[in-house]
Amino acid sequence: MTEIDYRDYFFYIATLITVVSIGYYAWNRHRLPPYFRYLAAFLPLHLTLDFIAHFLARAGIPNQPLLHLYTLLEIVLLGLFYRSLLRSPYWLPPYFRWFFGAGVVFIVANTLFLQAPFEFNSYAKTFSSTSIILFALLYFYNSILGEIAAPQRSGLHLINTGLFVFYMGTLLIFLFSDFLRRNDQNILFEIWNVNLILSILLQSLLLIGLVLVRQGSVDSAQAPPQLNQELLPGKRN
Amino acid sequence: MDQVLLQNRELAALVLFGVSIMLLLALAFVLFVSLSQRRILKEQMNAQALEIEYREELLRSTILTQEEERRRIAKDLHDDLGSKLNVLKLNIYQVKKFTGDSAPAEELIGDVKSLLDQTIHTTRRISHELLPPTLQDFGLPTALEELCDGFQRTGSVDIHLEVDDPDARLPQVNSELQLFRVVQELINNSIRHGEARQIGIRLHHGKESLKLHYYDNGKGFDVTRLAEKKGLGLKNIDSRLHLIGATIRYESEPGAGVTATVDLNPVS
Repeated sequence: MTEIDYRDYFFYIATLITVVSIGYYAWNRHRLPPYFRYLAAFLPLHLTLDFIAHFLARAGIPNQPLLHLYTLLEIVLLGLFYRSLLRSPYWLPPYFRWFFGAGVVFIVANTLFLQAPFEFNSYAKTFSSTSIILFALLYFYNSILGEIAAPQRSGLHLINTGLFVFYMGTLLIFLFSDFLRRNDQNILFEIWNVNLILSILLQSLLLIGLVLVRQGSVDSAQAPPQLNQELLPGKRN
Repeated sequence: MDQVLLQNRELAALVLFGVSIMLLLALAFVLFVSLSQRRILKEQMNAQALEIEYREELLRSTILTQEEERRRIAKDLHDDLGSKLNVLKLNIYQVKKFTGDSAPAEELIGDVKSLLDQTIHTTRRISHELLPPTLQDFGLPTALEELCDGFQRTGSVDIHLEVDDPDARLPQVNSELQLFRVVQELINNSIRHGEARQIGIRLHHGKESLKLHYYDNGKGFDVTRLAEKKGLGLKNIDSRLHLIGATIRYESEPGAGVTATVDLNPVS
């Protein structure tokens, strides 16, 4: 019988919540705003690669190539999610697409020239996490200005909070993971638990956020009738 | 060996400490954003409430001015133009006495009389449409009865009106007038857009409320797309009802007619 340690429990809880989120998205995809397709693509990617990586790690097989692939797809999908979410009239820096493109090139170059596929891609992962933190800050900036559409505001706020807290929390773990792995693998595993706990928090907030956004979309479709602006003086042709 | 392990442990503790600091920073930032957002939202809502209040006041005075103007025109048509036309009609009878048996003159007078009758009738009709005197004198049920009779006489539609208390009056005449205009608009919509052949209206007076059920057998529409396809007529209905604190709920499907329920609670 395979031995299950408490790390597995964290992993299974996060996986279960991700599966529920994917199911919820699939069930309600027509009622959710279009920018959610990028987040919806990120969820199964996260689930699949995390799942394979977890069992490879337990079997003692190096799983670093998966992390390289995950880092690349993660920044692409979450970058597109934020770009699509913060489309006009929201404020997005004009050089966003250049930064985004350069980031993708850097991650690929890192795998090709700096940290080979079987090495831990700490540079790329740190860059990816920092970028996502910046995207989340961009969202917060827009939300403080009161620009985010009201019906989806609370759900998007939770989703953004989940991504922000997760990547802020795991930034140092990724930054030092290569160094820790070389010194003491057991310590890396211990620290990796924090990543799992934050992953549970992220997946939970994504799921609740999805539910709230969907609820917000339904509520806005059933909004009560507004005053007839055309009857007002100066509004009529 | 032990020293290396100790150093690694210290490093791990340092990393964990760093992670905790980062998490605390993240949470503090999220808290700051949430509080700022709430404050800004509150300010925006206050500004919006003020704007809505201003627009409501503006809308109220626009509709009231419109009604006042209608009342004035109706009064002028009835009292001034109407009475002058009646005098003219009497004078024509007098003129007839002086023309004797002249056939061309008699024919001309007959034409003028007929034209005058039509003009008097049209003037009265316009005057009543602008402001039905029945509404002021006898209240909404009687005015609706008169309205339905008018449409019924055109022969294009069969209207069935059911009133639980024909003598009931609403405390405010303005509420009766707005409800009357709403029913007028609903009937017009049913005939013009819904091509309805049958219309039913049920007026129920509660202890402190009024419920109006309206239904037709017209083409109907998709209520889920009501907000985006609302025309000027339906927006007018919303505005008038909003003015008197009433609400309206539509139930319809394409090909299945329309049911509208208006709720008014004069106390609230």
